[in-house]
Amino acid sequence: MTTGTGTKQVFLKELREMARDRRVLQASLIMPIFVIALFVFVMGVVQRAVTEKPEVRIAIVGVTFIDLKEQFPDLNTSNIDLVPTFAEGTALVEEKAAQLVIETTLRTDDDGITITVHRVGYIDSDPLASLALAELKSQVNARNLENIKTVLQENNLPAGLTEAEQVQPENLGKDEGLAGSSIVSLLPYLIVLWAFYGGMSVVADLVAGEKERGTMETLMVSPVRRAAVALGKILALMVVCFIGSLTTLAGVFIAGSIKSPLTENLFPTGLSLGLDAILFSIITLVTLVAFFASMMVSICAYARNIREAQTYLGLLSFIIIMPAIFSQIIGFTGLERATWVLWTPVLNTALAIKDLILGSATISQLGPVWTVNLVLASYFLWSSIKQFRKEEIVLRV
Amino acid sequence: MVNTSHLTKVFTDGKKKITAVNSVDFHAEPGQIHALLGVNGAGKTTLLRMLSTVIRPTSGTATLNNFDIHKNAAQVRESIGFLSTSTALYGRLTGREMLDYFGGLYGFSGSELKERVQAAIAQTQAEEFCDQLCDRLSTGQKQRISIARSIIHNPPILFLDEPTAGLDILAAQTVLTFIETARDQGKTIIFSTHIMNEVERLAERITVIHQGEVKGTGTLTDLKSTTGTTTAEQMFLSLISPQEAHA
Repeated sequence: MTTGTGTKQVFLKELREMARDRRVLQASLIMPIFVIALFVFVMGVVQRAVTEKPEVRIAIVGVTFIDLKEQFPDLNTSNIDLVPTFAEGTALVEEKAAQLVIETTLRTDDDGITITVHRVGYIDSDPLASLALAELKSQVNARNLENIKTVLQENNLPAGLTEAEQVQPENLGKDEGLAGSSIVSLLPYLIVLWAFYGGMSVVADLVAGEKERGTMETLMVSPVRRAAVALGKILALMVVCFIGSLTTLAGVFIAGSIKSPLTENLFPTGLSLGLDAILFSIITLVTLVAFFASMMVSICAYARNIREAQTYLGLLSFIIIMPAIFSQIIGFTGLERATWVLWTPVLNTALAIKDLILGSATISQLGPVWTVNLVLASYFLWSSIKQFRKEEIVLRV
Repeated sequence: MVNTSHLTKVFTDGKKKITAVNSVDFHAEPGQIHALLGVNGAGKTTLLRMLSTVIRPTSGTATLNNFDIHKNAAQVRESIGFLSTSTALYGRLTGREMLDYFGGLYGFSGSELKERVQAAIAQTQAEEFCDQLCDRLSTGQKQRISIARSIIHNPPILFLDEPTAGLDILAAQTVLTFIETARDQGKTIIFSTHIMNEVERLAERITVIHQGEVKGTGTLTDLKSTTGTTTAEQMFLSLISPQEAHA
């Protein structure tokens, strides 16, 4: 019997068994789609709330509503509490009954100009308070600008002087299709994560389960090569991991296709993805799932039973999650193109997938990613075959 | 046929060395049922695992169907069928799919594979339930599928490791009848057991193993005569613990 024939037999048998296993359907198909779809809707709710200026309550010290309307004509007074002292307003902020407490006083500077000072109390960790403070600053800046324009005009000077220097931002990103979505930075993290978790749900049963049930010995007595058994199982697991990661994308497409006011702002430029992005993403994912699948099979071939295998996989998942999480925040550090990042497993793959979706990936970036994944896949394939060739594959139960 | 020569297996547990099988010699002929008789932990399973090339002997050798277990492991595995109560089935495959799978692993395909599977099903009278998932089969039905799996490649040698342990009387009867049929077909059968009734009913030759060593080998009559006992149980006790046998 050749290794190829045995591999095909083992691969097809494992696929058939997994297709009949509810856990595979749940972990690799249903759960990713459900979780991602739910996640997209939650993101939609958050984005809508932020863009539609959420209602904030403000405590204002020692003025009447008439004074207030004069100072802030745009203010919705129904969200304002008038308090006699700053301390009372502070109490409201601490109780989360208000986001800001504002006390307005007047003072005269050295040039004799009357300056209106708004003392604002807020809690830094309250996101609504930060938004309200930013809005207040923006309104005050706009009024200052208007005052300057008035002074310039009164002195027969052009009002345009207030905008003599301008910033004209131009987004050079290829914000077409999925690349224009605000969830694009999160997508690679989820794809990588489900590539791992999709396989993790079945691999213990696939290898350690055979030991536990007693089918491993039957398999080892047959003339099939041990390398063929290891390779067949790894290939079958790769399929499950791959499906797990692809269903993440399917979840996004399903959630995005549903015409809902919650998700319409999340995909302003649609859901399309370029053919080259799809092709290179698939290649990148195949190398990643080859690494994941061979690593998990190697670990589970060592474990004496399903429980021990699950313990090892649980610990391993933390090692996988950490670089995946780091891929979310690395953009703020300026390290995205650092050499060590390019050669760091999982992190480099998540970043490569993000850049592929954004249309900014280069071969010099993808090369190290594929190399790292394939080298690790080869190492763990070798390790898996070694485990299967040991007597312990039958004895360590 | 099966020949072993000074077959030894030593397991290492940290600094401790445990001799599971110590220089075992025995010989089994085609058309003969050879019983390996011993208590739990005597070394019977380790011996069968070495003969089936699942584990490597520390020293000594054996030939099966004229193939050396060290040099021709693949041919040895093609020559044997292995059955025990601890070898389970794949629960999410049907009996037929299970046989297809193992037939494929033994190198059969196409019409030849179909014929082999059908023959194994017919031989074990598994037609009625072979298309059900193995998880839904009764213990007896599972054992029939296991037997069919062990003979899918029509091996000249059968290893049966305590094949009736844990089975009810009907399922055990199926196995014993299968062993007799296989013997009549000219196969070399080595089965390990500690059940004396099975030894008396089936075994043409017996090798008594205790603490990894052969304590006696020969026909039941020879062994009774050598030990001066009248039953298989007395003979066995006499060989493994002479004091208990005469108590």
